[in-house]
Formats: sequence, structure tokens, C-alpha cells
Amino acid sequence: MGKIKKDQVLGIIILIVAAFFGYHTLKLAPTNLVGDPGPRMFPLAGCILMAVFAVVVIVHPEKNNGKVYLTKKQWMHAISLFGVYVLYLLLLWLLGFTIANYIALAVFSFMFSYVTNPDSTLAKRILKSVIYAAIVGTALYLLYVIALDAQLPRAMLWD
Amino acid sequence: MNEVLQYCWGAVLDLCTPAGILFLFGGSLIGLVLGSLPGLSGGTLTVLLLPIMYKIEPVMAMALLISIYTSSTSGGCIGSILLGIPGTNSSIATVWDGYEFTKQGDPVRPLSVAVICNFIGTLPSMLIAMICCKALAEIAVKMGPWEYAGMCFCAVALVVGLTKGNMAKGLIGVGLAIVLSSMGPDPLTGMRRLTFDVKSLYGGINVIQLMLGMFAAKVIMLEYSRRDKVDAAKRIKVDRFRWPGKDLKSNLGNMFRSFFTGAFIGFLPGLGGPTSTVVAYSTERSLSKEKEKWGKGHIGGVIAPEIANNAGIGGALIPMIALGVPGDAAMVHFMAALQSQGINPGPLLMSSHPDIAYMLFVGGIICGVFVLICEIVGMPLFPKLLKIPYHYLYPAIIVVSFIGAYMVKGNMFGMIVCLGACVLGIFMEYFEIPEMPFIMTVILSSLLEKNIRQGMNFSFVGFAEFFTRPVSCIFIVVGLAMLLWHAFGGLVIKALRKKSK
Repeated sequence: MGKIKKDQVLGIIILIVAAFFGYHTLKLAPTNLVGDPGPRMFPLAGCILMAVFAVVVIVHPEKNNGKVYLTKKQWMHAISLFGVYVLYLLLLWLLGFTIANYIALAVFSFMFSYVTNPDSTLAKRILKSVIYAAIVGTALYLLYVIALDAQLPRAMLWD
Repeated sequence: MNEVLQYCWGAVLDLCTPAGILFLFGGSLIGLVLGSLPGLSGGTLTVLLLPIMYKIEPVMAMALLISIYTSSTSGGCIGSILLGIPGTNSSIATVWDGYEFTKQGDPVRPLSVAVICNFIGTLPSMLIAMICCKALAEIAVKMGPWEYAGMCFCAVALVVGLTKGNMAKGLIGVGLAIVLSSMGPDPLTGMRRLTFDVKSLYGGINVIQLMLGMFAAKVIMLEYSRRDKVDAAKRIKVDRFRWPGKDLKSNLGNMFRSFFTGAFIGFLPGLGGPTSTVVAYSTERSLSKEKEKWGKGHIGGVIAPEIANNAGIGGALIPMIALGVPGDAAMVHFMAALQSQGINPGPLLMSSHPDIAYMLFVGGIICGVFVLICEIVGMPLFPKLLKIPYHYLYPAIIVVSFIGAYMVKGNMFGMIVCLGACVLGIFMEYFEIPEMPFIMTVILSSLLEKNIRQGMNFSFVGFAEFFTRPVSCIFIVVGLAMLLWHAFGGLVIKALRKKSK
């Protein structure tokens, strides 16, 4: 048995997704409207479409083109940034818009400075990130809170 | 005619207010900068602006969006010509010849040509859109749910059939989009579907939150992980604009053909810039007497994609305004912005909100002129545009994306959707599931479902009515033919060639 291809992995994942949503769609109550196929029709059509073409990609997978989407190191970078995204959401929930924003801007700026300016020293990077966060954070505060009077995340801990 | 002039004059007057000037010219400048930066585009900015659109008057919101769209489409050539990295997807074909000139030490010639071609592409395409939209909307207003359902089906089928890559994966994307957009209230009865008793899902998944995750958060994540930004801009010097009269005169046929290629492909749902520029480039290359020079620095290779690129702007506006079907990815953002204001794009837009429709045309034309002046005057500054430090830009974009996702419905769940959409975007890109059929179906899904079900509800013969009505039948047949051709066309051509041999 040969090595499983990328398309076959996709097919299996899609089959599971289709089965999951298909099962929940079938649990929906039918409609009372005359002639109306009901609320099941569309999601079910989506599930069937997914399932049929998942089988197609499992049976006829494309050859792996050898192109690497992301290297192992790049995946680590992506996952680390995603982790910071999650932490940012947690901070927004706990500390609210104003404080979380300043912290997030400084952290993101610090992380990106490694990409665009790798030769800079650590102290310089930290200083630049803090100044950047102070300026941009204040600009965003003025835009969202003062100019737009928008509904923003409030601190769960004290609001 | 008087009426058209009246609305156009109204749009000009709106743009002469302080807010109009700020939105149009501010949007144009920012769009130009973002369009020129590889990895970012005007699309990223319009997605970021969607959550605050409800705070802006609809006419002004459209002025802002059209200025960003037009200027970023024009600005895409700067990165392509100076760095060899396209600023936007639709500037890919410009790299092939444009960058060759830079390598030979003459970036001013392709830049000057591109600047003029962008303008030549924009202006007539807007005028054509102005004429066609009104005529098409008058026809579309008479259509019933059967025709609408047929049209939506045809649009999705065209996108699946014409996008590059595996059709099966395109259809998987369509299925996924149908299921995701089915979550929430049923469009006919309001019954809750696939909400899994999660209160935040009762209203369904919001398109804006989905786009913020798929386009903004994902793009930045990949840019961060790939770390392939080059600093080549530091070495480039650009002199003043040079009038490219000779180049334009020797390429009149190319300009004419590329304009119509761009406008027509822009009109087809879901295609737009990237396809039209490549088609225009390859057509002109095959027609050229100096084929061997193309790809090594032929000015026709800059003219064709740059005209087609901007001609597509007006082309893409036509189906969005007249039919309520997005012509390209940017039009999806326009539709989402209008819907966030409670305005539905489609045939009634021309009669119920003519000020909005004419603002798009007039705003596009004025922006085209403004961008032309900016690019001519500011050409020596182009390398500086490309030196904007990404570590100052990306953190702000991330923060604005997530805050925007929160603002749409005012709850944390929106941010979780945005995060989920970011993962979904990476999943789709990793497995090469084309993005366009997915996002197009998300936008059109509820319209398609509502019209199919209404059509069946109103009909005595059920589903057959879709085929007994000529317009809906034509749409469905064209859509099916496109899918079948994409699936089996290659085999048919092979068989025919074998037979002729």
C-alpha cells in the first residue's frame, strides 16, 4: 500500500465534515409551507456536494507537486503568531480594548521587527516597539472611542 | 440623459464637501500605497474598513471604497515593475516584461506607460458601466425568483468552471460555503439551523468576520511565517515621468483589444484582474510580430495587462450594481459594505439609491484622474513607497481586524469566528481549495436558497418551472455547460485531435 496523498487526506477530512453536518441537518424539522422543500434542502445539498467530491479526490488524487507550502520552521512561526492571536483575544476579554491593544501592538511589533530588521539589537527593538505601541494604540483609541464611539471589548475583570 | 447628468452632478457636489474630499482623495492615496506593497492590497484595507462602514453615510462609504479599489488596482504595477514582485494579484503579468526594463536600468519607461494605461483603462470602463448598468437593471427588475436562482447558480458555476486548478476542490469549497452559510436562521421561515444551541450562532456566521479572518489575519500570518520580504527597493532610482507617446502609438491595437478583454472578463462573475491580465498578455503576445522579445522587456507586455487590469474595474461594477452578483473579489467587499448599511445591491439599486450607484461611477473617474496626477508627479518617490516598514504596518492590521470582527455584532464570538476563518483560510490554501468559489458562494448562498425555494413555492409544477422559463433555463444550461466543459473539455479536445490526425 502506497503512501497516502495530500488530496486523500483532504477527502477524508471533508467526508467527516460532510457526515457531521449531514447528520445534524437530518435532525431538522420539515417545513409546513406547501411546495417548499424545507430548511433541510440547502445544507443537505452542501453536504452531498462535499461528500461526492471528497470521494472524487480520494479516488483520483492529484500527484503531489513537490512544492512545500510551508517548511517546518515556517509552520512553527505561523503557529507562534497564531498563539499570540489567541492570547490577544484572551487579553481583550480580560483587560478590555484599551490596555490589551497597547500590549498587543507592542508584542506584534516586536515579533515583526525580527522579520524586517534582523540586525537590530534587542534593546533597540523593545524601545521601538513600545514607542510604536504608544503612538498607534493612542491613534486607534482616538479613532474607535472618540471618533466612532464604537462598541468595544470591555474588561471582564473590572468592567 | 438629463437624469444621468443630474445624478453625476449630484455625485460631484457630494465629493466637493470636506468629507467627500477626505474620503475620495485620502482613500486614493492609501489605496495607491497599499496597492504597491507586495503582500498587501486595497482589498485588505476595504476588508478592514467593513466593520466601521455603518458609521459612514452610504454615498461617502462608496466614494471611499471605489477610490481604494481604483487606486490600488493602479498602484499594483509599482511593485511589479520595480521589484519584480506584484503588488496585487492582477499585476502578476506586468512583472514578466515590466521588471525586465528595471533590470536593464530603465524603470521609467514601463512605469510611465503603466500609469497612462491605467488611466486609459479606467475612464472608458466607468463610462461603459454607467450606460450598461441602467439598461441591464431595467431588464433585471422584471426577473422573478426562477431567473434570480438561475443567475446565482450560473455565477457560482462560472467561478468554479473558470478558476484555475482542480474543479472537484472548487466544488468542495462550494459545499463548505453552503453549509457554513446555512448556519443560523432559514431565509424563508426563520427557523434556526445548525446552531448547536450556541446563542451566538443564532444569527448565523457573518461574512465580514469571515473575510477579516480569511483575508487579513491569514495573509499576515503567512507573511510573518514566510519572511521573504526583500529590501531591493533601496537600490532602485526612478527619474521623472516621460510621456510614452511613441510606445502608445505603436500599440494602439494592443490597447484596444486588451481594454475589451479586461472589461469583458471583469464583467464575468468572480474572475476579474488576475485572469483578464494574463489573458490579455497571452493574446497580445501571440499576435505580436516580435514574440521572441516578450518576457525579455517588451513594452506591449506592460501595456496589455495594465489596460486590462483597470478596464476590469468598470466591468466588475456592472453585475454588482445591475444584478446583485459580485464581478470580482473586491465587489464582494462592496456588497458586504452596502448590506451592512441595509442596502441590497441589485437591479433596484439604480432606482432606489441612484446616488450610490452614480457615486461609484463618478468617484471611480475622479479617482482615476487623481491617481494619474499623483503617479505622474510622484514617480521619483515610488521606491520610497516600497520601503514602508512592514513591522509598523502588520501589527496595526492585526489589531484592526480583530477589533473589526468584534464590532460587527458587539461580541467576542465574532473574534473567534475571525480566528476560525484564519485557520480555515490556511486549510484551504494548504489543500489548494480555490478561495473564490467559496467566498462567492458564501455571498450568494442565501439569495440562491431563498429564490429556489420561493420559485418552488410559487410554482404549480415545482422544480420544472426553472427549466420552462427561458431566462432561468439559459442561465442554468450555461452554468452546467461551463462545469461540464471544465470537467470533460480536455478529453473532448484530445479525442478531436486524435481523430483529425
